Amino acid sequence: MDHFVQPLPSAPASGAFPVLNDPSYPFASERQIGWQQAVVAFYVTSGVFWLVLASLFWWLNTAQAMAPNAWYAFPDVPWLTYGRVFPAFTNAFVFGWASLTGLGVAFYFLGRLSRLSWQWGVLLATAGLIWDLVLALGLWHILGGGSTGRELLEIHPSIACGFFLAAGLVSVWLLVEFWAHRNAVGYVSLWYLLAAVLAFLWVFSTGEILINIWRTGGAAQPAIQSWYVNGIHQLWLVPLALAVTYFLIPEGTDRPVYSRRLSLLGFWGYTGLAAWAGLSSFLGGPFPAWMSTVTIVANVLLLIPVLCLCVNFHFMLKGQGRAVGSNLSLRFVTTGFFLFVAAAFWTALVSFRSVDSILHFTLAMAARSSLLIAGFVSFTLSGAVYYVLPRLLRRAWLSPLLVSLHFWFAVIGLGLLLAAEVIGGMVQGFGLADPKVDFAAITDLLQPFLLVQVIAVGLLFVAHVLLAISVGLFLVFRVRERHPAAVPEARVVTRAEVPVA
Amino acid sequence: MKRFTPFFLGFLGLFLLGWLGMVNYPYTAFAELRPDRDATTNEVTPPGLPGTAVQGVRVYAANGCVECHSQFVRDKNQGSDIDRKWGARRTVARDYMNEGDIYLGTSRLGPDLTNVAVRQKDPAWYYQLLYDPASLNPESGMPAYRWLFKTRKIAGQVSEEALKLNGKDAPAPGYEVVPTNEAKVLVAYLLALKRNYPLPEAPEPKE
Repeated sequence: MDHFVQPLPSAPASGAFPVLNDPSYPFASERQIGWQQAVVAFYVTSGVFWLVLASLFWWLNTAQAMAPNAWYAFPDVPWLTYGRVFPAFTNAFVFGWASLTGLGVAFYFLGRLSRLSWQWGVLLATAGLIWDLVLALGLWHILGGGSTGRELLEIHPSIACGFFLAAGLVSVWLLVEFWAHRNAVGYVSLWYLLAAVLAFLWVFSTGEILINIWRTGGAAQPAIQSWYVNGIHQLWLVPLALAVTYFLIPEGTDRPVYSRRLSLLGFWGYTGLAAWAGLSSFLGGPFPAWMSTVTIVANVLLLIPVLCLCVNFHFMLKGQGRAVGSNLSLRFVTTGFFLFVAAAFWTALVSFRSVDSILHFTLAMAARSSLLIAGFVSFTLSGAVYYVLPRLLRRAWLSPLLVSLHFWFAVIGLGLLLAAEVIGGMVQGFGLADPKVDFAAITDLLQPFLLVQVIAVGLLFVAHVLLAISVGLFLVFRVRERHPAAVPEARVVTRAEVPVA
Repeated sequence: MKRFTPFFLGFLGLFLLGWLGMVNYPYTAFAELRPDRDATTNEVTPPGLPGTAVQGVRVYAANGCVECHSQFVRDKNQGSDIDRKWGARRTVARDYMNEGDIYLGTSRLGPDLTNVAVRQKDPAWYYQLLYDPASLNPESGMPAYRWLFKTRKIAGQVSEEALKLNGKDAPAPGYEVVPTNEAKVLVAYLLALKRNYPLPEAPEPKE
């Protein structure tokens, strides 16, 4: 009956490889498994908390954009005005929900794919606490009027350096575990997980040190800033989510990764090219023409690794419609992957100079991050949460109906949002491109689209609240004793654990 | 690809390439820009921001003006920025060389501000806009920033700074609305936004 029960896959014939969940596994004592459970659950639940807060800010923001004179624009309450709530929303979404939940589920998948002792689990718990504290302080500082005004670097560096400390703890733990236990990196998921953690340290320290601490001025500032934002999106959050995709699609469809070569090309192509696509936010800006050109070329070439991923997943998903329909976490992950492909094509399309000169500065540019972050990353991580928590804590979800509702609210909300951003963006873009159209007239034309945005983000807010309710009920009611059959089996070797290399 | 160390080094190497091109290059190249000195008039461009304007950048940043306003003018063949009279020429790297905080912006829900002080020179207009944008333009999508002002009892004469407000915005008799220091430095910053000097690398396009 339960939607989360996986059909028990047959163990691969190819032979033995280490699995954490194997009771005979040498590293994992009860106490160490306890650390894993505590750390993953803590990261995931705090991520979900930030998601609800971020969506609330986001909803307020869309309402304020539609009606700047309404009471909820709060002209007398500085900390609730549009310009302060917006960065609070993006920071809570990216550094709260996507980063913390991403790390939490990453720790679980790492445990499934490599030998981890969890001896130093206390390091991870400390890192999580620091991360939460830094984010809470940072949001408070942004709302209080301390924002630096630079996208995703709004938190003052004296607070934000805590992120660096926390990420440093995580990476030290990871490197020590990997070197000490001579772990192989034979799984595609692992490549993306490790790449994400390494890239985060690099990207974050670049942005934080060069811009917020050294205060690099002049045109170098927006150039580096833009590279940083692109890096946080494409080199931190996207690899985290792709790691989930590469685990859950083989697992859910019970098929191994289709092609090792395509996986390799996809991985190295994506990570190598994304580092060059840094200037997407400021095409046409005050920079040498070659920098814009490199960004455009990189955005188009990125379609090659994306197509490699497509082929890989196509052959795993082919004929698996029923599995995707009945397995809710797989449904989230598959939908997320479609959004990822759509995001890549949209980004390449709006990079072309002729399209960019119309659509730059419009809502259509926001559709990029809606597809990639609110879409792909968010959907994939939701799927991961629904997969990971029952297996981690050996309990079942209270109500699959809530999960299904979350899915449909999110799909409809995101669909409406994208429609408003793409069509509204075109209206705005063609309006701006014609100097005879009065600026105020464009604002007027945008009204219906801003209204659709309010409805769309409202639906997304409901979806995210449903996720939070599911997680809350899951933690409070220990649904194990009542429905022992509903607890998914984790102590089996699944297809995701067949190494490709 | 099985072993961790080659994977680790390979990834760092690949990543370094992109970093060198997209971060290190602008960091070093733009630091070498020098101001332009006109041979005949001896005028140095671009001029720096005055001190009050530099304080105003903080207010501009803290309140998220950049979420709706951009500060760069694109070339004539890329968008209608110049036709919309948002600038007579495109902006280039040198335009920003004296500024410590640059907010190029990615959205134009509001108009571009690169040369806003060329279009509007009257501080009173900016105060009126910040206090109640709808009073200047009912279609405006800009929120009001009333908390940047304070209403106080008139002591003796009406202050020179007091806003001339009519209709529903008018304060109660015996009271006046004056800008706070934050509003004053913000307006000083906006009044300094005029990149209308010539630069040899960005000539004004001919019609």
